[in-house]
Amino acid sequence: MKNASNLYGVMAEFATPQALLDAVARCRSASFAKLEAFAPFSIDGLPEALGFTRNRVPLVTLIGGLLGGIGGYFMQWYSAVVDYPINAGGRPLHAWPAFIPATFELAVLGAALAAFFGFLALNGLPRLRHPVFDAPDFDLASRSRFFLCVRAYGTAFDADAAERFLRELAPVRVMRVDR
Amino acid sequence: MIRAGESVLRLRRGALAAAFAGSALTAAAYWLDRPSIFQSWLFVWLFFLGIALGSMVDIMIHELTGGAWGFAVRPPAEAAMATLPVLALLGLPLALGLGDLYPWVDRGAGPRRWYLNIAAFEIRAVVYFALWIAVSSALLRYWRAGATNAESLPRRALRRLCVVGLLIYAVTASLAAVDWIMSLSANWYSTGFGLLIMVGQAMSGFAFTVAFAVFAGYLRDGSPNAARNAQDLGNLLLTLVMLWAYLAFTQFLIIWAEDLPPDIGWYILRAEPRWRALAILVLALQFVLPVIAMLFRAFKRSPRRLAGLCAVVLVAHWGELLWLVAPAARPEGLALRWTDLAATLAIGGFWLARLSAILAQPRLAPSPDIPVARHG
Repeated sequence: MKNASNLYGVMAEFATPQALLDAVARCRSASFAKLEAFAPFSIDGLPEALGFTRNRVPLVTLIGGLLGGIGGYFMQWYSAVVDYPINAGGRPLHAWPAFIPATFELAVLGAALAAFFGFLALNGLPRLRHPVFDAPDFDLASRSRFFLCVRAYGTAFDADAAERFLRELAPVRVMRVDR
Repeated sequence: MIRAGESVLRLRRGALAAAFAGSALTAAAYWLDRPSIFQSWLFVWLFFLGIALGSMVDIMIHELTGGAWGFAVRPPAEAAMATLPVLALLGLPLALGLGDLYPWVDRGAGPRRWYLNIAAFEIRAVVYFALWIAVSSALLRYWRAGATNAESLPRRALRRLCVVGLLIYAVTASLAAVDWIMSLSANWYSTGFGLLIMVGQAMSGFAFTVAFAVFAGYLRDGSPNAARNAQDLGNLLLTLVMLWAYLAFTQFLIIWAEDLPPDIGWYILRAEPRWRALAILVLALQFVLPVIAMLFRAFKRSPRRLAGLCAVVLVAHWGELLWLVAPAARPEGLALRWTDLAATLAIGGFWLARLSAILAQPRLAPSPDIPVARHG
């Protein structure tokens, strides 16, 4: 019997995406607090089944876009009006129409960089080691098998009960994952 | 079979009443305020023509690309496309007012006289409409053929027709924009102008189609796939308004940067404070508001909210055509005239009445025999 505080979770391996979806639904109705699912491809309805509805990547992208746009406009205004003013055919120094294209490009660049790095940071990536990597045959999660991990979460978590519950769902196998 | 709902039949009665009231006002305006009524008639007619042509373009693009979003809103788009003959009739009164509208009629067009003269102008208008009606009725014939024998609907021939139709549209709509709008100002050119008008048509046709599809009950909150279709439609609306803003801004930036007298005059005329305010309002309602609204997923996924946004875009597009057409004749500044209302009631009334009559006929339900892909 392993020490519960050293336990990452109890993991079950399934052969089909439908079995994984059914298992997620059963576990949710049995009120296991925290579930993680691993699949080799995107499964329609899995995020909703896991209760995974909103994320913060769009907000980070918006902030990145705004920073890029405002910064891009400021850069052009500063260089053309303050730092190095040149009279170009009598046009105003603060030539806002000419600033718009570069402002737009930099807003897109800022949004794209924020989306890419925000996605990595919010997912805690890059990460070289993860407890579930130690589970036997877990490499199949990127090929042909579907895994569901019930996280050991809170003091009331009963690893034996979780294991019994998962075995009822007819998995290929059930295993415990250490931290 | 899809049959139009009760709301469409009610709309038809209201539209006919508006058409007759508008026609009476227009007839009065012909005697009381002749130059003004032709200005109003021209821009309002271009607004409704743009919806019909834009719907035809959107349908042809949908036939070529597919997607579940299109089948959800096809009936109003097809009906709008089928109103082209009525719009040809509604354009006829303009022939009486060419001298009131275009400076080249009285003053002559100098070395361009061979192109800009009344006979050539009218012949070209007839050719444009003949081609547009030929393409639209060929498309409608294909779908009617499918009504009796859906399996043998010749998909390849239909696709070829759409490609040819889009090419014909690109050339004729660009020339028509030069004839009917650009030649209102003597000596003003912009090479991107035809493209700007075409994108405006595709956008207003799309906005009308979505707004009307929700109004008439073809697409409603809570119906199967409504949220996903609305999301696809919202993304397409976003694409169209961004393309419009890109083209409108590019034309402005180029002319502003070169700052040459014949070109910049067109914008100086429109920089009078009230015309400028209208330009900013159009930009806010036809670009900024849709872009901000489309940032919110929940907004995009509700057909009712999306239809409201499309209605706002349509009203803004009416304002844009006013801004494109009228300043040459109203240099004292923007003022809405009673003739604008008269023309909108008359043309809009007849057009909506014809549209709802077409929708009231039983028609073939669009049956996708190509795989229906989700876009967006």
